[in-house]
Amino acid sequence: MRRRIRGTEVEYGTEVYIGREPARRRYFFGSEFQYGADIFFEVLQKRYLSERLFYPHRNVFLRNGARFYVDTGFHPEWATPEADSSFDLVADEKAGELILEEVAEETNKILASKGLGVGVTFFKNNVDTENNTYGCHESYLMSCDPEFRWERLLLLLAPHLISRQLYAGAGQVHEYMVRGRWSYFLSQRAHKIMFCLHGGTTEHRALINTRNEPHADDEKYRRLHIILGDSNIQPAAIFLKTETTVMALDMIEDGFLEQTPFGEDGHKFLRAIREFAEDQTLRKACELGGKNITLINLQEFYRDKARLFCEQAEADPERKFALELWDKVIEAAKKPRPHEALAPYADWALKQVIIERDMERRGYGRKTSGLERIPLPGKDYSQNRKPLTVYERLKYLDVWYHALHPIGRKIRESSGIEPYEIVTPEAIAEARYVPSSRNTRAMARHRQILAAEELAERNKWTLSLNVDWQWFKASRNDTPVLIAGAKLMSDPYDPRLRFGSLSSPETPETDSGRDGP
Amino acid sequence: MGQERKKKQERPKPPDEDGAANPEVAKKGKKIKEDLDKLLDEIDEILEENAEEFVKSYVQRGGE
Repeated sequence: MRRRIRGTEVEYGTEVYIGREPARRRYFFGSEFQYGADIFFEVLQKRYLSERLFYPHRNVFLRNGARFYVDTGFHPEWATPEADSSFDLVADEKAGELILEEVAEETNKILASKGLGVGVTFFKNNVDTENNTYGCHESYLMSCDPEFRWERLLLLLAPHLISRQLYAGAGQVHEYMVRGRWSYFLSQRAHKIMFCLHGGTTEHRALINTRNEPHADDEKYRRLHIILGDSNIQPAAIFLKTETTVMALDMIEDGFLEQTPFGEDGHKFLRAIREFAEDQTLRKACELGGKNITLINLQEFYRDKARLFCEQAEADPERKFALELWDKVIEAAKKPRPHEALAPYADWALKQVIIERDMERRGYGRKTSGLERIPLPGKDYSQNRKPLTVYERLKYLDVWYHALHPIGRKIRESSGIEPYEIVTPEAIAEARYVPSSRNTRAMARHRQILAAEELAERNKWTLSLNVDWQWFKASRNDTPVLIAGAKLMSDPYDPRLRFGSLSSPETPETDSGRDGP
Repeated sequence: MGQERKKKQERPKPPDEDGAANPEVAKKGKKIKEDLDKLLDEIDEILEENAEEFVKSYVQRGGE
């Protein structure tokens, strides 16, 4: 089976707490909380890097090959290391959640101990309470094919991308401009996608993003960048979102999938992604290719094609598992109350179970105005405090479902439903320190970092690091001591430790040169 | 190459629907329900304490 590098970049939302109050429009990784953000990066490096190494800027690659940095709009972003298996990606993405929560907690403790009552909480979702959005971007390495056309990729892949929300949607409580009117969407990002094809990521989000920064040999590879997916907490959602897309790309690149029955009008896909998102019963049909098609129909098409494709190839246990899980979620989607059947797999479904439980306990429903107040029995509302509105209850549950925080876990647990696990807790714990995929460039980066640590330890040096996907440099007081140039690092499938010579970073170097000047 | 690292766990079987048939299961089911109710009460408290301010404040810059 062909190997394919995949990864995600998750932009997190953050809330700053000043004392016990959340601070509106104050960004922990923005310019006013430099002190707090500095401590965050210090703790991160102290826990996950040797103390003899440091990054001078807020752009850190850890031993596990992952990258943590501050992106557009002061959003902290976690990018997973190069993975060649969707199981590995799940472990790597979940490891990121563990690390960020742990470091946030430690940072908040330190800030409190210094008398600075400022703390940060991370949210792994995609929308705030004013409809601003931040993304979960997927990357898939593709071959460089001179016949490649974006329009063709759009027609072959978009029907899958617009219907993955069946299992990959994270759910959103949406408040309309009409006061009191609210609704529930399957996906947080569906309504943010305005274009079929576009290279932008902030003003112009497209079904298929046309940015191509392979971070690899650009004559061999292109990197497909998908920005319409939601951030997921459920491991099954992360797994399926990724593996089904990999299977679709395999079929497309192999010429096995050359056309779909879903028509050639990209704008219909744009409309469909929203219309699907607005229907939790999953029965909404959109006209595509002259027929009325539901998102279940779309997923069945790709699943059936993928099954045929895999049968023709050599047996692979991971693929078999993925197809069986795909079957499970499609069957669950056809049940009369699909959110209950899908709750172990999909965030939107689990969240809907939680919301319905609140509705049942507190006596309100889908038609209740978002402005209506819900008093709790036995609570005294005489002093200033008013009962919460329906919208306040729902929106808090909606967002805190995604919190890297004990409250987030409590909310998810309150569903009474066990998530369907994809990888063991041990695999996730290990992924904090080592890339889960052992045969990709992430492993090379891991080895480079360890080599730098060893060199620093042996000589009692402190080394500053300058690392990118396709670059490695460790320096002592501005003088490089270890370096690997872009050409040397251009193969994302090569896990071997390698360095260039200091005078020629692209030329592979023998061991003997590595003791430094 | 390390399939043991990634043992996929089967989802645990859901508790018996028919609790009457087995008093042990019924007792466990009741305990689970009690724990869940306690958790839901706790979440109500968390909501009452935090939801209003949070929903007003959770505004991001917007990213990619």
